[in-house]
Amino acid sequence: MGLSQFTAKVLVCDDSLLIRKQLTDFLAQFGTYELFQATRGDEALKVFEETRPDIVFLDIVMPELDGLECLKLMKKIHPGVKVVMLSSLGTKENLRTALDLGAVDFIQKPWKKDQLTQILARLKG
Amino acid sequence: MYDKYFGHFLLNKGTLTADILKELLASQQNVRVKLGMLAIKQGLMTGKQVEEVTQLQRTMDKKFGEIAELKGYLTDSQVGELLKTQSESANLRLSQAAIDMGYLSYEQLEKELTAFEKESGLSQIQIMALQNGDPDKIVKELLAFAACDHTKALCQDYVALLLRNIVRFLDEQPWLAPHPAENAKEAELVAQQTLIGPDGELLSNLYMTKEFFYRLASAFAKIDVTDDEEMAHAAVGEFLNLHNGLFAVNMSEKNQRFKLEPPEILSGETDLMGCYVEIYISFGCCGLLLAKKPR
Repeated sequence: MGLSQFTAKVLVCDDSLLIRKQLTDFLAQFGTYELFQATRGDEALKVFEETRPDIVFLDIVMPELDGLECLKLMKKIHPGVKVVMLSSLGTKENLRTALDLGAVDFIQKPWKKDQLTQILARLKG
Repeated sequence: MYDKYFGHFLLNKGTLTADILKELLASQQNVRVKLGMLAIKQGLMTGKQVEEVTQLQRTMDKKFGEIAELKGYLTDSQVGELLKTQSESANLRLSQAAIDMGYLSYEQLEKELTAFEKESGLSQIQIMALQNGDPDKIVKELLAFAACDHTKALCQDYVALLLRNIVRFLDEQPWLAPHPAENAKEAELVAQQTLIGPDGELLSNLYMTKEFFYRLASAFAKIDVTDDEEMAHAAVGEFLNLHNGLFAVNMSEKNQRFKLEPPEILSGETDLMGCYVEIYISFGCCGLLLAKKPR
């Protein structure tokens, strides 16, 4: 199955309109994605509970609730969710915390298309 | 960056007008620095000798190096050395553009280069740092940050990384204003982000005109966002966030942990005080103010 046949519900959480647009435009090229967006941590949790996405792209630096807190709560609500952290704040500590909390991957911004394609290929499995 | 300083030295002396300097800065990317220019810069030939060889090139089917050797101005090995450095001579592109476009003669240039090294107010170490081109060395030698002694090293690291990120993410060649104002001038828009560190908060502020703001946004987003205020705000905010994220990563490797607040775009002035520098890129100048708030 190629990426073009991949069907999934995806939630993109980032306070930057630019990042949300770049990411959703990129995802729209592959497969049948049902895309949801959130701009703040608390909103991300609300949309998460309402939509139960298969995959979440989650920024760390967000208003109200940061991405690592969101990750912790999302995994509590739905342990099977696949969360990819996408942040400019790729310190070793954040990477370790995210992986300990159950993130499947951590992308340091600026993200590259190849990097994301590889992650999507892994997630479809 | 050496070239930019030299250009502004010529502007301040009145040798070049602002319009001509702008034209030279815009055209320098496509300029190939010639052997005569390198020979003057390295003190191997005078401007007059270079003029003479250049004139002879018009009547002889020979290269500059060959004629200079025939005239006894350069040896074969000196020509070889000059040719080796030709591709690494980005520092002299503006000077070459000024010659090629007829704004300076080689003789004038030789005098101006000598005057620059004596009268620019820059030390030999600072000039060497500019010629070397390494942002860390340039910032260390040029930015004294006398008013922020306790945060000097941190501010220098921050500015050097910003210069590298401007090259990396905006594809621009930045340079620092030689004598910035003591504090931020009036600005139409300010991109601000708070970094929460071990000793308190560091406020990073980029002061911009509206025109600079929209051009920065478009350069970072790689699309024209001139007519999209929301996207322009997002792009400038993300540029600052990306830079600060990388700064925080660098600092974490020195065991200093920084958390980031989301970036904000504010209008008008702020009354913050701190380490202030002005950074020029092809579409203008922006001010960077780093203000530290103790815990």
